[in-house]
This record gives sequence, structure tokens and C-alpha cells, in this order.
Amino acid sequence: MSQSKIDSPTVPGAKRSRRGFLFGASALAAAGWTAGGPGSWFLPAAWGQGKKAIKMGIATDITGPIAPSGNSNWQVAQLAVEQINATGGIAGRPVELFLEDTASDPKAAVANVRKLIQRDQVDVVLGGITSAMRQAIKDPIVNRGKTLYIYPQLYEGQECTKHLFNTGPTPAQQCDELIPYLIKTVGKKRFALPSANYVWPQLLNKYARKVIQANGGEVIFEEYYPLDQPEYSSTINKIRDGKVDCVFSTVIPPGLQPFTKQLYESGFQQRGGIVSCVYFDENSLNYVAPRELEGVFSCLDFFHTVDDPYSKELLAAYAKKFPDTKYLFTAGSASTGMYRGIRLYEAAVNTTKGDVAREAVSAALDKAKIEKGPGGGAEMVPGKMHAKMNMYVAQCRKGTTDALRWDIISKYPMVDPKEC
Amino acid sequence: MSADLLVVHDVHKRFGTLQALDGVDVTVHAGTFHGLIGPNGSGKSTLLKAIAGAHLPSAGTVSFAGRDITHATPYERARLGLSLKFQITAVLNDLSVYDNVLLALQAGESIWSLVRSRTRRALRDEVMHALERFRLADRADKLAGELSHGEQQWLEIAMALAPRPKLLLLDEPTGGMSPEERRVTGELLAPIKDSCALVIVEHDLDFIRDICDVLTVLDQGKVLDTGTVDQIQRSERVQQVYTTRV
Amino acid sequence: MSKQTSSPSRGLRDRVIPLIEISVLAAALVTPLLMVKSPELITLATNILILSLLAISFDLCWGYSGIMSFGQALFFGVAGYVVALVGRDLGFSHAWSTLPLAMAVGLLLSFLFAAFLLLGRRAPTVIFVALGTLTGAYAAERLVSGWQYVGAGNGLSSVKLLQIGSWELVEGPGFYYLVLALLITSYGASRYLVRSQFGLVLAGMRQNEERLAFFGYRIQVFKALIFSFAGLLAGLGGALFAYHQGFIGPGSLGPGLSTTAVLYALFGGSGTLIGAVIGTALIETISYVLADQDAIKQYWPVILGFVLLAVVVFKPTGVVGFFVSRRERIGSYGGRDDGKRRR
Repeated sequence: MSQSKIDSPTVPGAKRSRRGFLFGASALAAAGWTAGGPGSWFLPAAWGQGKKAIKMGIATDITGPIAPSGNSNWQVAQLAVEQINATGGIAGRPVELFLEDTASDPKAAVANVRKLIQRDQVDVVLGGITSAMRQAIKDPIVNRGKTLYIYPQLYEGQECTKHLFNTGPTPAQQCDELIPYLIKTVGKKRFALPSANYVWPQLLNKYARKVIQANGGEVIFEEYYPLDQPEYSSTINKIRDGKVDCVFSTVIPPGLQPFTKQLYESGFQQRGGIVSCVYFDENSLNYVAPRELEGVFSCLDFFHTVDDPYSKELLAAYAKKFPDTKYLFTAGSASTGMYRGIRLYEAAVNTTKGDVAREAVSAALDKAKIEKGPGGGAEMVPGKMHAKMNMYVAQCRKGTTDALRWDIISKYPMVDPKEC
Repeated sequence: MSADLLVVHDVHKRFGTLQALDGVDVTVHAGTFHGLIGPNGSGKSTLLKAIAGAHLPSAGTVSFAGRDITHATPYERARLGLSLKFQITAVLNDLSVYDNVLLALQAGESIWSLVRSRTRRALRDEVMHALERFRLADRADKLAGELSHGEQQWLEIAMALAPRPKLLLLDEPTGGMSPEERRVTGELLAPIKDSCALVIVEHDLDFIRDICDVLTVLDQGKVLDTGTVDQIQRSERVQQVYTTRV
Repeated sequence: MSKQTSSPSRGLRDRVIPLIEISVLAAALVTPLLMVKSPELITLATNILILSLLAISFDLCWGYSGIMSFGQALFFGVAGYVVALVGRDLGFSHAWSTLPLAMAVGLLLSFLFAAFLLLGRRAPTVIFVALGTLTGAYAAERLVSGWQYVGAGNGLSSVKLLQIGSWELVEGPGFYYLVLALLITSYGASRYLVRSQFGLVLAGMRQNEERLAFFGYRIQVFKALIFSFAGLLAGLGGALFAYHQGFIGPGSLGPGLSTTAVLYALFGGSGTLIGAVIGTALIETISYVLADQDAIKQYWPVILGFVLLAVVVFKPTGVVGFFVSRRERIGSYGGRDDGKRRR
């Protein structure tokens, strides 16, 4: 519902900018932005004079249950665009940012995204976090809106729509390295796949099962629960009776908290069992008690502990721009995909020399490549609509100060998304 | 013309502990004006409602034109030719006088014909005729709610007669009327005797005496006496009730 | 024939509705021409026309027949789901058959409701019908929210575009004028119905149901018919909504949207048809403007609630009631200007 926009005040159409700016302020405040007075987040007035700005639309969940992720997406988008504008924009054109709240509600999202397309006439839309949201907004963007769409979140794969580029990790990227590692190096072979009942766990498990079996592991059971199930004793019993030694979980909040608690209290971890959850990142401490999180394995495209100078620079810039924010720059929240998406778009439009026509940008984006980003560079796999990126297997451990941190176990460079 | 149009046989009606009707027998012949009289609470209105279908009797039967209508719906009674004018005027205040009568007249038509307004024009003469008969023609465009009380009563009688019923039930037709209006009402009703029988509940004994052929006197839910106006006037039982209680 | 006795002033006052109707029609015809540069406003205007069908559907029930239906969105939403599913599973979206299909779905579903709620042996009370329809809408919303085949809580998105011949309709002036044509047709049919002798029965029924029964009208049958016709219009609206939005979700068939339809009609002025359209346009436009005002949008539903309360308490005849006399709202069905009137 809220519509905000950040742009250079000197861009033609200043009247609208003013309006966008004023209304935007409260949305930004809602998004946790505490930056300085009016205009402080814009570029110097001298810049961009007479240049037609590139309009970038962000459609993400500023309100509703997915809001924590949506707000970090929005903040990361602002950071990325600020960086781009600070270095001369894209092919000499400044980037204007437009925000629409998808409100964690497909119905509201469809109407609001349409505003980005029809009123603001943006050149590209980035956003959507859940698969349901992507499904809801891709039609108004790609089909009806004839606009380019970049989807940033790790997801279940199989999205092969023309003009829809995916910049988050796929099941292949999350499973191909992690599962062999769990089986061959950690030595766990008996897997349980407890899951929330929706499309991401279903398709991820399908892929994971193949990888488990191909590597000599065994799936003891695969189960789906309502998202808010509070009680898991029968699952815990099955884990014990089936002598499961690796719980590969795709249970999500709000069912996540009782699940991890009950699993931990059953003594699964003390008996040597391990837990793996591929969307766990630095944010997970907000959901799960430390004792339950300790020892969990994850596999993502970025952790704060990644040993990469540019990643560290990014985190520092983010912390500087959003001091004390509760919305972290993490992989699980689609923030890395958002940053990567904006930078890949930048690379593509640089190739087209500033032409933002969809066909041209799509063609360039299909082969786009960035050298730097959260977790390292990335490149689109031509014709595949997905990106190769570095993947990291990490385990949550106590550091020297007893605080939990994700220790990187191994880095896998430029893992193939294996989609489309 | 002395066929039994309406036969009420041994009708009982109980409201809680009150026995409103206690074995009432009344027979109304075609072409007669039949008055129901009796003191307050004697059951005459209840009897009228049982005939009309507004109350269902606890026991007994009501038959009309040879059909048992004891449990028939108002709609079925109306279709058989039983019409009714309420005690409290129930003209439709927000509709024009004309539309009130039209509404009454078109009641027999199929829904499809109503949707297509097939008889809107054809019924015009009949509506105006009914209005003229009850001296309401120049009020046709007024809202029914704007009429005087007496005019509303006439309108209602006009509406009740519009579908050409075989029997018309009138509950207190002259209630609230001036003497002049009562007189006119009597005059207006007289000509319908050829086509329609009447059952009237009325307090005004003069009015009843003027227009009715037969009277039934009720008291405490029972029939006290039935007969011609003259017979009833001479009936000692009736005299007794009226002198001691009224 | 009797002489004309009504004063000229009343005659004038009694012809306000046609004036309003012509003005609204003229505004509707030129609207897209004024919005060539703002496609999002054409989308909004199209939405208003589509939701007007829902509002008219409710007005036929409540304003004309005294049926307090809190379930109009059910017929609207189910029809929307049906065309969305036909598009998804059969790959079919030709207007000539999906729109009639949606109307049939609305008609059939509302008829089933009518049979259950209205056609019992005893005449139902307003409260009974209101609760019955509300329950139906609520149950449907819950059912659909948990049903994977129809997208569960996320609804159906990427609804196949409506086709007419080889022409695919996206949001824009084309879609707008199609909806406008359908709305005018629906409005005309509704107007014809409520101004017919059938409509006279409805008018009488609103004032005194019992009296009408004693005339020999089976009033529940009349109610069931108007309710079914209203369901048909809601179904048409729902299909257009799904095609236009490209999305249909559980919220589109629940008590929320049903109540919004009540609001449209009561705010604009129920029992006039045109009031329903005006109410929809006003509320949707204000909502659209306020949705961008962060300071207000949070409270907008609350404000709407108070507006409704104020209307019900202080101006039960709605916005249109400021211009239209009671007499005209109820109308005449014969008599005076019978000769001049064509129908």
C-alpha cells in the first residue's frame, strides 16, 4: 500500500518526486530507516541533470508476517542503489527507486505491483519473497505489465518464465554440496525430512531425496505439517524409533519454534544426531533458542563470516547506513539475492549502454556477470534464468565469547543452479 | 344461490391458557353479508383470522367452496377466492393509490407476465373502475399514506375486492370513520352482493344492522346465536349478554 | 382517465434519477479519454465498474427485496474462481462462454442459497437470512483457504487473460469499455425488472410482506428469483474481476468483500440502483487516494466503519438521498404517466 520513492530531486518530474519523497518518509520510518533529515539519502543536486533516470521498482513485504525479510530487502536495495548512483549511475543514468508494499498478501500485492507498472512505469521490478508472492505478482509484471522481473529469494526452483530472472539459490545449489558433506564427511546416513506443508519444502525435499539416495544415504521418513502445528511428539518418536541421525528440516515459523524445542528436549542432539536446515542464517537466533541452534548445518550463498573483503565492506556499509537496524543483511531473507539482482541488472544495462527496453536488457541479463557481491561474484547461466554463485556449507558454533556464529566449513565456488 | 360457501366446523383456538375459540360452527352462504358480533374478547377477530389463515385453528376444520382450507397458506386461500381486509389499515403507504390497486389486481398473474409488465396497460381500466367505485379516482396519483383514514379504508376494500373474490373478510371496516363515512361505506358495499359474500366483524351495530343479512353472535369463544338481523335483535340470550356486559 | 392533480414541482422532483443516470453514464463514457496518460487510473475505473456489479447485486437484494445478504461476494468470488480454474486447467478464456458460465455459476449458487434460506415453509426473518448468507460466505472463505487445488490461502494468480476472438484483454481502455457495456446491460436489465409489475410486487413486499401474501403472492418465490438474478450479476462481476486483476483469492468470496458491497450500496443510497454505482465509485476512489497516505491508511477501515454508521443513522437514503425524493425512489408503476412511459 505504501508507495515511496527515492530519487534525485533534480530529475525531471520534480513535483511528483516531492510528493513521493514526503509520503515516502513515513514508509521509510516504518521500514526502520533512521537516516538523517530531508534529502540526506539523495544524491548531490548537481548530479544527473538532464539525464533520464532508470526506474527500479521494489515490491516486497514491508508489512505482514514476512515483513522482517521484506524490510531487509528494501534496505539492501537502497544501499545498492546508493552505491550505484554514487559511482555515476548505470551507463550515466541515475537510478530512481520505487517501493510498493506487497504486505505479505497476494491480493494487496497484485494491486500494488500494478501501480509500479502502470503509474510509475518502472523499467524493472525486483522483489517477492515467498513463492506464493512470486506466483501472484509475476503475471502483472511479466505478462500483463511487459516488464522485467528479478526474484531474489532462495526457492524450490522450476521457475523458467521468460523475462523472470532468479538470483537466489536453487535446491541444487543448496543440496549438491551440503548433503554429500553430511553423508561422507559427517557420516550421517539416516535422514528424516520433517517439513512445513507448502511448495518450497515439497520440491526441495524431492531434490534432496535424490541427492541423499545417490550418495548412499537413506530417507527414513518425509512428513508435512500445517505451518502452525504446535505438537510434534509423534515425529520425535519416529526420529527415535527410526534411528534417524540427520534431521533435514524445512519446518518454518511459527511451527519451527515448538519443533526445534521438542526435538532438542528429546535428546536427539545429545545422542549424536545432527540437524540441518538450509534457510538458517544469522537471523535464526531471533527464532530459535541458542542451545537448539548450536551445531546446526546450513548451506547458503552468504554468511557474515565469509572470508571475502567485498562482503565485509558491504556489511560495514550496511551497518553504517542502517545503524541499530533489526533487519539483518542475510541470505535467508533474500537480501543477498536482492543485492545480486540489482548489480546484475546494472551490469546488463551497462552492456546495453543505458537502453532499458525489456528485450535488450533481458538478452544482456541472460549473460550478465558481476565480480563482487555478498559471498562473492555471480553470473547468470545463459538461457537458464538462474545464477551461478558461491555456496558455503556452515555450522552454527560457539565462538570464543560463547556467542553463536556460523563457521564456514567449506566454500564451493560458482555452483551450478541446474534449473531450466 | 344458497350454497354453503364457507363452513367453519367445531373450530378451537387456544392461546396459552386462553381458550379463544371453543367449538365454533358458522356457515356462510354465497351472496350473503354475514356479520360477526359480540363483546370484546368474544373471539370474533380470532375466528376471522382462523378463516383468513392468519391463525391456524388448534382443532376443527374450515372449508371454503368445498375445499378444506384449514391449513392452507394465505397464498392458497387467496387463489381460491378468499380476500381479506385487515382491522388495522394495511394499504401500502409509500405506493400510489393506483399502484395499490394494481398490486391487488395483478396478484393472479404469472411471474413471467409480471416481469414483462404484460398487463400494465390492460389493467388500467379495471384499476380506474375500482377506484371510481370507491370514489378514489381523483386520488389515483396520491400516495396511499396521504389519504384520509376513511379513504384508506375504502382503498383497502377496493383492493380486497379487486381480484374478484368469492368471499371478502372485513375486520372493522368502519373503525375510526365519521358517521358520514360509515354511511358511504355501507352504500359502497351494497352493490357487491351479487358477486361476493361478506363476513364482517364490526362494533357498530347500526352499520351491521344496515348491511348484514345474517348475524352470528359470539361470546367467550362460543356461538351464542345465529340468525337474521331481526331474529338476533329479538334473541333474549343476546340481549342478556349485551345488556350485562357491554 | 383522471386529471393530472400533481403539482409541477413534484413532477420535476420525480425525475432526478434519470438525470443522475445520464450524468453517470456520460462520465463513465468519457473517463478513459481523460486518463490516456494514467493507465493506473483506467485500471481503477475498470475496477469500480466491476465492483458496481457487485453493489447492484446487493442493492437488488436489500434495496429492492429486503433480503439482507452478507453473501454477495460468495457468488462473485466463486464465479471468479471458476473462470480462473477454467483458464488454468482447460486453457480456455473466451468471453462468449466463460462469462455466461460465470453468470450460470452465480445464478445456480444463489438459487441453492435461496432454496435453503428463503423457500422454507415458514417465512425467514431478515436476521436469519443475514446470518445464513454470512455463514455461507465465511465457510466458503475458510474452505477455499485450505484447499490446495484452488491455491489455498494464496489464491489463484496469473489468471489467463480474457479473450474475445483472437484479442486478449489486458487492463486498459478496451477492457474498460467491455465492462462498461456489460454494466450498462446489467443495469438496464435490473432497472427494467425493478420498474416492471414484478418490481411493483417487490415494492409492496418491502412495505408489508404479510399483506402481499394475503393478496395471493408467494413472496418467497419472488425473493428467491430476485436473489438468484442478483447472484447472476455477482457472478458476472466476479469473472470480470478475476480476469481484470489476474488474481482471485479467498478474500474475494468472504464476508469482508460482502460487507464492502453492503457499504457501497448503503453509502450511495440503496433502492435506487444508481446509488450503488455512485457509492462504489466514491468509496473506491477515496480508498485509492488514501491508500497512499500513510498517516491515514491504517485507520481507513475504521473510518469506513464510522462512515457507514453515520449513513445508517443520519442519512439512511445515502448520497443519492440528498437529491432524490422518497416518492421517486419508490416510484410509480402505472397510472399518471403510464401513457408516456414505454415500459
